[in-house]
Amino acid sequence: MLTVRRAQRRFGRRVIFTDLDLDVAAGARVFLGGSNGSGKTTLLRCLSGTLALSTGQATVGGHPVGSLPARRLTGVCLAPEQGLYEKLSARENVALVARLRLPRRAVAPAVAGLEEELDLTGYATVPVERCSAGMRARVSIARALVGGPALLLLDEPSRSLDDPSRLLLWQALDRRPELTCVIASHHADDRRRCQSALTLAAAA
Amino acid sequence: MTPTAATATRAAGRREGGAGRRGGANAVGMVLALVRRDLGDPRQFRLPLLLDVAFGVVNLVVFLFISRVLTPATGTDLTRSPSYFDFVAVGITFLLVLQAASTQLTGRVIREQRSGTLELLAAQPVPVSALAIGTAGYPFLFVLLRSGVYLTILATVLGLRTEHADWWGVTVVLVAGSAAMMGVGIGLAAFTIAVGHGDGAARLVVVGLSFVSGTYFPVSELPGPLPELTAVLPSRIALDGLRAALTGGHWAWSAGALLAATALLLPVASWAFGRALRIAARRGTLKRD
Repeated sequence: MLTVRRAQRRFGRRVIFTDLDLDVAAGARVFLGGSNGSGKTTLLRCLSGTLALSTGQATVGGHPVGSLPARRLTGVCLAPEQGLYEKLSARENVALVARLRLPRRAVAPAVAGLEEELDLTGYATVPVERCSAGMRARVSIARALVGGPALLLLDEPSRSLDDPSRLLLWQALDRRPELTCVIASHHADDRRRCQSALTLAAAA
Repeated sequence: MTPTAATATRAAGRREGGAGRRGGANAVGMVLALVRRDLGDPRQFRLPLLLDVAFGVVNLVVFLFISRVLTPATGTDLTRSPSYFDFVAVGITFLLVLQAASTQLTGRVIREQRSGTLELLAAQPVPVSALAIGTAGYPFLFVLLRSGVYLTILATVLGLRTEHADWWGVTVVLVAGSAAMMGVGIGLAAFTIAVGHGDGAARLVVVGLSFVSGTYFPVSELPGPLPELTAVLPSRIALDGLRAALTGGHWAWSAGALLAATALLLPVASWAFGRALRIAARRGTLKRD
């Protein structure tokens, strides 16, 4: 599902990661670990196509990351408490991505299903700017799951979540055994729920 | 930096998730979704419209008094306008379109870069042209509404002469002019994404285009070859067409030229927008702090 070959990303002279190879089979969950500043978010951005690799290549389902088919296959949750339209409600934020990914008739059922699954219903119509960090994180996760992506990239999804919310997240992932996940996290419990791990070393 | 490699193994051959196979949204639906995103926030709409109308009326009244005190020199070509106020009122109305194309659109892109929503949109399966037009769609729909309000106030309260106006022509030229300027706006948005400093560039474009397009004074007063050279600018064509439509003149040529300019500018600007996104992805500036 996800293949990375000899990937390197640097900013100026600062190398974030280099010579990175990764093969993730469909349905596998990869835990992405490493200390603060080790490049976990940078790698996820590269896999989502919003940041280009300096060298090397990465593909999703055989398509180069960043291409339209690869973006169609990929759900992204980077910086889960950010990247939301603050004035829009949780429902409208999820619905926007649904309208960009799904046929019109499929939008409302998809949004309603995710609201229920991640327990957004209590604040679905509240502007996101009035939501707590944990509520916002759940909105971001719901948004990343819209349209049934084949690959899900999650950047520390549980850092703002309480225990019941983290359980909701993992239940949502368990309901999708075909979903391939790359999950950046510092939680040991998250590590335990993944089949394999990739640990990035901090840049020198 | 440490070379790191890992292989996640699980039985291959599982079916891929639905998104890759299922029919998705079409490009028109995506553009409408992006416009609807902005309409979903009434605070972007109600108060700005009221404030803008108040500002616009005061601005127009200032020029009404200026036109009573200062008289253009004999022989000045006011492009069919019966008075200087009639001339400048049309200029100020179209200035709204110039501002939507420049400062408003670049401001929006800057906000989206800072909030991370541009990065979110860039990660979605949205064709570049749909993303570009969808991003510009709301400011231009809003500016058409504002222009309509301005023209109504001008005609009913401030004495704009409209007895010979062809309102169908006014509408067509205004819409075609806005569409052509959308191309300019998307080009500026691309500059903002790729280079930054879009706010400064936008202000320069507003001042420059309003100076050479006949917003405040006839282009015939420009020095040297400028009156002839500026004839190709969509902003000038739109202003000439609007003044013609409001005074019973021929506006069809202007409308045709603006549609041709739109057909040229929008694809070029969308291409530039796509290039800008790729440059930003390379530099890591799709999200700016």
